Amino acid sequence: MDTFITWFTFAVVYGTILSISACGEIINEKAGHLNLGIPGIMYLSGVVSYIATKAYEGAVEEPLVIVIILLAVLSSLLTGALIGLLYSVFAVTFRCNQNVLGLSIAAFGVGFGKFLSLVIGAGSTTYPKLAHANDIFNAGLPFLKDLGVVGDLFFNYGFMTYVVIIILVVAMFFFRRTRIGLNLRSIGESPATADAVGLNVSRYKYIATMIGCSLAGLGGMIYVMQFSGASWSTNNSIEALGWLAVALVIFVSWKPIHLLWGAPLFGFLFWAYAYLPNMLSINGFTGMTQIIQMLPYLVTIVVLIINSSRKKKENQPPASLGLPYFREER
Amino acid sequence: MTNTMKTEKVKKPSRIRITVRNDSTFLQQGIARGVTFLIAVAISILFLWMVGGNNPFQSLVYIFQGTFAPVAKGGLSITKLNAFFKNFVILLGIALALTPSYKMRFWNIGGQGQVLIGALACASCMIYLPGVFAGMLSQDATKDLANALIILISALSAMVAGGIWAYIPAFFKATWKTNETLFTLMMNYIAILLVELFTNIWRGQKSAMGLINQSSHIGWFYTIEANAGFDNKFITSSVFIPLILVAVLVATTYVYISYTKHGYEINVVGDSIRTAKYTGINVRHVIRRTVSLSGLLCGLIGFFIVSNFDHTVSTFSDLGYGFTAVIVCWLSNFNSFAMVGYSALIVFLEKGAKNLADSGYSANLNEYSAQFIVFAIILGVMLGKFFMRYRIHYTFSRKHLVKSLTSGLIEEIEEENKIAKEVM
Amino acid sequence: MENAIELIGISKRFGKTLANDSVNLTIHKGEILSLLGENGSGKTTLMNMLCGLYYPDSGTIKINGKEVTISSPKDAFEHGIGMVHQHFKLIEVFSASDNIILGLKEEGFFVDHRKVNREVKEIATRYDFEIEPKKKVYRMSVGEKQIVEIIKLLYRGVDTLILDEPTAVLTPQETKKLFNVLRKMREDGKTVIIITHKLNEVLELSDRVAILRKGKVIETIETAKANESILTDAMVGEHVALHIDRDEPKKDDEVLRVEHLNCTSSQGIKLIKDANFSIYGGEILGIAGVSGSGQKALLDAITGLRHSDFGSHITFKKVDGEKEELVGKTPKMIKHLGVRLAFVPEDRLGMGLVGEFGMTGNMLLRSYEEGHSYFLHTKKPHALAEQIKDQLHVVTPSLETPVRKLSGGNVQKVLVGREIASSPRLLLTAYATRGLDINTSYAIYNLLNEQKRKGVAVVYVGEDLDVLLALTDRILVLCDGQVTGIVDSRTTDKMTIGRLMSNNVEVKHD
Repeated sequence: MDTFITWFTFAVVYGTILSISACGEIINEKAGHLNLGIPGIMYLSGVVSYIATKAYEGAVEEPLVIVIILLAVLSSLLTGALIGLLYSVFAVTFRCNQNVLGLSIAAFGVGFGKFLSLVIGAGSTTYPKLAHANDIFNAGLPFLKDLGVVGDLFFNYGFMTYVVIIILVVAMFFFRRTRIGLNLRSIGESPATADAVGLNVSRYKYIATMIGCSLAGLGGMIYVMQFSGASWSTNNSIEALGWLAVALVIFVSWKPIHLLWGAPLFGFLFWAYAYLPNMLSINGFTGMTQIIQMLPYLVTIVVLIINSSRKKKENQPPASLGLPYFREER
Repeated sequence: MTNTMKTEKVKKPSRIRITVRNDSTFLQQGIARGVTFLIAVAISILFLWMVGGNNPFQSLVYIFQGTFAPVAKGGLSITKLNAFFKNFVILLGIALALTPSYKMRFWNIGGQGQVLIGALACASCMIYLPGVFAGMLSQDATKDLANALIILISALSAMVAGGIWAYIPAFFKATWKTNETLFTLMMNYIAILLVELFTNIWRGQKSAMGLINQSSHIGWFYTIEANAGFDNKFITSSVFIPLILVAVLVATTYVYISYTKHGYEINVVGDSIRTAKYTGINVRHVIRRTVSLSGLLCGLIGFFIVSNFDHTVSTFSDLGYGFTAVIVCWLSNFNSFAMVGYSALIVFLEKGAKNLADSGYSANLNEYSAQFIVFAIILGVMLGKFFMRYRIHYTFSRKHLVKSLTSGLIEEIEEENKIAKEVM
Repeated sequence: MENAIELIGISKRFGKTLANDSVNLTIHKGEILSLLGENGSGKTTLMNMLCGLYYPDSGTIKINGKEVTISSPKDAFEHGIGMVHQHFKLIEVFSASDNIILGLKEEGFFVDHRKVNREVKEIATRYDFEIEPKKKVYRMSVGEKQIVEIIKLLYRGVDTLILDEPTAVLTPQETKKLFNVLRKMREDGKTVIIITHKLNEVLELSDRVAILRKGKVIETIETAKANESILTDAMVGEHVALHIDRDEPKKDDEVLRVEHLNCTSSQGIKLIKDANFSIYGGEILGIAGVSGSGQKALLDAITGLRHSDFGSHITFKKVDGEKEELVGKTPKMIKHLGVRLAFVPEDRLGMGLVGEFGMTGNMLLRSYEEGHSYFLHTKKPHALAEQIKDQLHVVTPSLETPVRKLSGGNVQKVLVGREIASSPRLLLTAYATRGLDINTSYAIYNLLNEQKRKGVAVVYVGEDLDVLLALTDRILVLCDGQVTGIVDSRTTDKMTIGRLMSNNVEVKHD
């Protein structure tokens, strides 16, 4: 049982990171942007939030809780938003190919993140654990977390897990029930139609991309603060999680609410190699880790194939995904 | 019912408008490209200066010496040049391999997976085939023949493996129009995990896999070059044959796309699926054939990486160039000759940044500083492409605005949009 | 009568062509105004400037006497002007009501679907529409989609509606319903502008008619004082009785026989229902029908681009008298059988030609496979391109200029020229003169007649009944996938064809 609880908690924490990043990517894709830069954005935002928080903890004797939270959250949001702005400038205004732009940003985000972390490490590669930030981001819910197994399974996560759940629900309502959500969906489906009813296509694309990217940035921050316990390492797996988030978007058919179960499921599959053999009391054979880790990607491929063969309109990618938009003249 | 807002205030039209240039001359295009490129270089120098301090031009010297390093005896360091050429060959090779797919507007971003799976196939041949050919290898008379056979089989299986890896997404694209970008992306990760899986098996209790056939050199393509009997250090180096091969590939890719029947079909399918069907082209077949060809060539690059350069396989065998090659391919407008330039530039910068970091010139300029410069240059080239094709109108007053709204056409883009939508 | 909208001296230029040349037009409040003109006369461009898609190069627009600037569709809405375009601008995966409220600020932050559905229903009852607010657009027929477009405008409180060729895609019944709705709108005080080139509609529906020719408003007439010949004269300029040379057909050599042809779409919709007919060498067979009645499926089935159902037969008689079954064969197989069949498809650049290629590259489309070599042979195609350029007077800077840069007429000449050059036994054409000026159209008619004289079996799918009557020898009429009649062009009249076109009353998929 203990093994299962540990497995479950790891899955949920990974699910938190995956779902917020995937939610960011969904917003991007709903605006018609296939942003493949998500891994880079997560990586860079993670570094930046670590640096900002470290600077504050180092400078002050008694760091304030609220300042640490704000610094970590805002710095990652801002980093994401800035890259989103850069993406929009090149994809919307300069009409660049989105695949190329996204891949460049993915490479740049990871590379530049490593660059920054080496700079602040000043040659040494050890990065101190930020004690205060770790405490803050990993404290479970008061009282509820002490409810035995239930508390361990559901209430013993850092507060960001619950914030992310709220964001997902809000995102669902945003797309289903609000006027702006409706408008945004129309931009990804048919920008020409949106333009014809007077929506400012470029503005929607800019803002949605910036918000989407900042959510992905938040995912990077959660990785650093919650999963890694406010420590940093240049060879962590943020990048892999970023690609998994892109896959997850397909898996949930562009519906944020499905992330609530889809993302933890991916987390489960990701960590299965570490706990499953133990639970079943079997000795893992060499290579089992990788075979199990392949599952999320394989499942995504299967979903992709099934969706494309069934051609159910509701499960298709936004119709103008990846295409630049220009107002048609003549 | 909604009330109509009969406001007198009407929102001003945007002051900035972008229109297509149809009439740009060769000179104008050159200027657009040159200027944006120089801006990117200037930003890079500014970056080196701000981060590294001191004299940014000294940094440039170190970057230059990452590839062209003088040695005490005079001349250039062969080691550094070879290291440059190795990366160059791999990057350019993958970019060329992907070209037919992209020309057909099949967004194959699975170059990484296709190279890795080729590398894996080659490595397994090198590991298991010596056992199969043990008899031949033990006799002096047939030893060389056996080795040649092993190398040949390794190359073939690498190509087949890469081809199959690309065929899978192509098959589903052709059958159900399954999104190839996302599919090939997923295939990358499966390939990475497969490589991880097999290296774990092969290394056994050891901490790392080490070189395959380290003592016997069986299956090492490089030995052919080394033993060829030439006295020239460059010719006997491991990059010589791959360089020749990739040079041939540059020319054949160009000829294949522009002058062959297959190339013609690729162009037609890339332009409009419906035209292709109208003409009687078997679109599904062309998609599968072309993408498999891309994968096949990627697999060949994988073979060269393992058999010729590394003699081992890892998840980083492709040097991370699977994605970079996509960028190179697009920046070059799918022109194989332009790819030579962009590949060289990117590798040059990476090698330079590594050298800069190793030189200890500035503590802040580590090997990853190249990422910033490469990114700046990619953005610069993108911007150059934009200014080549579009004109920006900026108006200061409403009156001018009305005038400026009159010029220009966007029909070209419209056409492009139409085609883009059409590609399955 | 009160003036709703005044256009004064409006001009618009696209590149070298002047689409609108200082147009003056006054639109009264509460009237139905027809904009009549041939294809390319500048009707749509003019209205696009009114609804904010284009911005005029010069001239002023006055609404209720005040000068206004309309630089976006939103501006147009704010002035109560909205347009239903020929290509519907609807989001396929949205419901009708979601499409209707799209982009509206007044709806508040949350969408109250119940309120919207109720209001949509209200509008529908007021003007006699039939609509299901919750139905997804991709499940709708063309007529239903058009209704969504119109309600979208009414919901926005638009009081001037512009409809661009609204009946082109409708069945006669749907057209009738639409006209009733438009009349109700007029009673309701709304102004309606319809863009059309169909005279009968103008006469039946509108109060006034403005006739455009070559970008200018030639005349504005009260419909009560107009008749068909006055309108035609004004529209085409000098009195052009549609006179196309027509020889008697030979009609002895049956080139193609179609028997029990059935086609079903991938969604299971019947596209062609048991078609039986023959095409003879030396005749032009016209195919008429409301657009979407199965014309495309029919041509695609003959050319092998579409599968025919089991039991269908399409038999082609080759020059040597040998007969070939075409059903179940791909275009490539048909070509290899030695069946000399040429096809000028409707979508010239998207289907018949490769926009990126020059003329030579496009000639290769039919012949690139020739020869055993792995490489392309460009010598013959180059010569052919040269020949077509000279004979058909194609205006192009060079043979290598991408054809997408050429004008519509030149593009069509390249396409028709290539198809004729293959010396076909059967020449299929779909809307061969759509969007072309009169001169080019006549050039194309002449080319078709020339083929007919050579003994080629020519199929002309058209939309203009006058042209069909004057050019063809027989007319096959399609209605909802069914051949409702084959008539002799010399003895029949428009009314007969019109009736055949709307023969089937029960219509549309779903």
